[in-house]
Amino acid sequence: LDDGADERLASLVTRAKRRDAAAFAALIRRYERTALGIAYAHLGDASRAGDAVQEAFLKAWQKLADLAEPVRFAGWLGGIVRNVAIDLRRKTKPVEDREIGSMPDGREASDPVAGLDRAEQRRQIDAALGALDEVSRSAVVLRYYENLSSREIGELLGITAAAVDMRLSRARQQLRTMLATMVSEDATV
Amino acid sequence: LNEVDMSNREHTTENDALEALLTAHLRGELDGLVGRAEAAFRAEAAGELPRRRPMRLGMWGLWVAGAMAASVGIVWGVAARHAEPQKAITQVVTGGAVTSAEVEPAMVGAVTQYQTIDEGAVTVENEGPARRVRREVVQTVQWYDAQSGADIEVTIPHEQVVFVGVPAF
Repeated sequence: LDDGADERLASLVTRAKRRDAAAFAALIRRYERTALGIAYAHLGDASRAGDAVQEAFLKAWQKLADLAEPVRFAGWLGGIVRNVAIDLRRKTKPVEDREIGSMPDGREASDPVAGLDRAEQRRQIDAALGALDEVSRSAVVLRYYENLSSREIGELLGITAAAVDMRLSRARQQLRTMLATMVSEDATV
Repeated sequence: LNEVDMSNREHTTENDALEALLTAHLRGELDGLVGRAEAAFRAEAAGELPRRRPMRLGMWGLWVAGAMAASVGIVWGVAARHAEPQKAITQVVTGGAVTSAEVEPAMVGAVTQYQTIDEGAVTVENEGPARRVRREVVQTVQWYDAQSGADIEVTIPHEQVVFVGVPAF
């Protein structure tokens, strides 16, 4: 983040600490996708990730007074999201809703084969992501979903930018191997 | 050098394909959830969605049920002791003239019936698992008007539905 972005963030956080709901809503809009990425990397399930993020933001709103440095909001929020996700994972077993999640949408309904292909593709990608260690998976999700820089990812995960790059490089290698068929199909299109 | 160049290009193409594949997958999974947290927060901030932990829900549920039952009992007790029954107006014929006389019927019975039905486990939105318990209370009071010989019966049904949180494992 540049200085201007830091100042804007600090201003929003300071207002939110004074119980300005509009400022906190702006923070949610800004960081919701990042939070979803972190939760999804921990839970491997989009629906539960959504629940965790919702809960995490409400906790953040309640605990905002504890945040000493407003510019550290992202990392602080990331910690809350991780803790909520870990709690959720411990408390609840994943619902076996893969099939529901893979129900064909309107377009695929007319082409059951396409729907099945898509479901299988999702299953393979989920399995490949699931095979990564948690930190690497978080780095991959934050890079490819939110397009965050290595420094931003590092701040969220509590590791250096160089460590993020190394993990991303290894993760890409592992994913390329596991998803070789899909990657080569896409590469030739 | 050419071989290295070719290998790098293939590598880059594969990385691009992997990036496109992962980005599409993650957007497909997560983009639909964007906006939920803000909506939940706005509801919370507006007091539309009071949040309670599942165990607190149970305690609150029991507390509310107890308080409501107690208040019903108190109100009922006070009403039974102090409320004046509806005054019946009876026309008495005396020597061809008609006069009105107020007669107070006597309360001859008050019965309160309770029924608690466990309607089973439900999932309360944002609160987790809970049991839905329906409590039905029917209060019946009877008066007897000695002068007219009329029996008066008033039945007041009450119903409460309480969600009792259960711990999730």
